[in-house]
Amino acid sequence: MEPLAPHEKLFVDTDFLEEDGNHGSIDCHRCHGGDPKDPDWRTAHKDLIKDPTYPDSESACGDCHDVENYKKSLHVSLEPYRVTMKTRGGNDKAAHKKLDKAFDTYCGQCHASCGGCHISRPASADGGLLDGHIFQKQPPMKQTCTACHGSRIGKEYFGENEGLKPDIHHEKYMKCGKCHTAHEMHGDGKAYEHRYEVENGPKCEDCHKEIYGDHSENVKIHTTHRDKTSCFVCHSQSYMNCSTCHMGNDQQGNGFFKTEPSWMDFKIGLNPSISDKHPEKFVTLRHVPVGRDSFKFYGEDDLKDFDAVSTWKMTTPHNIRRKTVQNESCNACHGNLSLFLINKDVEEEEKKANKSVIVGRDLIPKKIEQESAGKGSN
Amino acid sequence: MKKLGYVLLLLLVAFSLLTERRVSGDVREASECITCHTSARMLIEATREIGRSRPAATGRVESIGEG
Repeated sequence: MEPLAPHEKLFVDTDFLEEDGNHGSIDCHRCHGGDPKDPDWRTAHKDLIKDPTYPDSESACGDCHDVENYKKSLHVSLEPYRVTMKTRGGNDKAAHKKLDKAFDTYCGQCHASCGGCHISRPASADGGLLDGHIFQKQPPMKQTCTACHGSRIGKEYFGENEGLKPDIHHEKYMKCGKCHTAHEMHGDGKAYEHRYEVENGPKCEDCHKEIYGDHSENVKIHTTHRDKTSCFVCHSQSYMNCSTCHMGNDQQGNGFFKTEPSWMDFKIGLNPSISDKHPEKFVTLRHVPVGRDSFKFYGEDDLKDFDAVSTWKMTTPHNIRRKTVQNESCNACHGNLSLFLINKDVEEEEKKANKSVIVGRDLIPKKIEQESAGKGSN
Repeated sequence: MKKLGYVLLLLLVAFSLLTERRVSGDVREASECITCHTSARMLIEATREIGRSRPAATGRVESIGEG
């Protein structure tokens, strides 16, 4: 994403004022504060509200838009991160307090807001008005969605990881909003603890309705694997995994975080939380950037119950292809140990945390002797 | 009668368009915000001044053992 020059970030297009009869006719200071009569910009910007839609969008948007669910939208609340951190913190209230501080200083900064998608680039991506303050009904993908979800999802989707193809949906010109609807983004009023619980989240079958139908191509393979493997197990390519992340302050007192090198991998593991929405036994797993000492700066041993949550987590890579290395033939996957997260793939100090997702050798599907018997027309 | 109806409708449309423009115009005239934020030249000057007034970035030095 091209960075914006400082003045570009603040430039307001007159089209916004002249053509947007709703937003363009509202006085600037009604949302942003400041003193509109003061000709000296140095003093006029006193008490300016840069993003009037965060943390509360009610006063800026609520008169005309229904923003009741806003605060519970995962893009605003980031609740799953908070829940996971506290679960790892165990029952230690003092540790929770320190983790809250770490969350507010670092993790919590990467939130979205109404304005951070529809008017400007997100603050965590260095902000800047998208199109001269002209409201974007459909936020532009590269300047908003992948400005934040860039290093993993963006690179996967656009095919920017060396040797890997882009997601087929990108090649079909599909933008994020095609699957991730506004309804999902804006929240449905429920305070979910995990993004995979979100009821109106995307499902492959929303579009691929006939996949299990009698006349569908590859119906045998699809029905055989139904509820046993997630779609991603067969149809995603390798994806980026993160090792760990540490937070702290530098010598000038500036907060920083640093991550250890990431790596490309593809690992099938056990689904640790089988549900109606995700009944599959096998899912793709991605290592997330956390270690026992990630928050050490805030307090020794703050993650007392580190092993309560796995560090290899269910993932939905955004690099889907119809044909992949692992679905070339039955035995490209069956009996292929290298595709599965087995005991030796997991760091010694993380084995306990990942007990529920590591695939025991006895659980790995056996090689199929007469491959043609199970082979479809992939 | 029908013609009169068309004329009235036309006048109504023209009036509503003009009023909308006038609202935007009012905001622009009354606000120093718009004078500056719609002028690339003024914004460049202001952001340069802000840039000069900020201490030069020294880069982040990570403290050993704190991260």
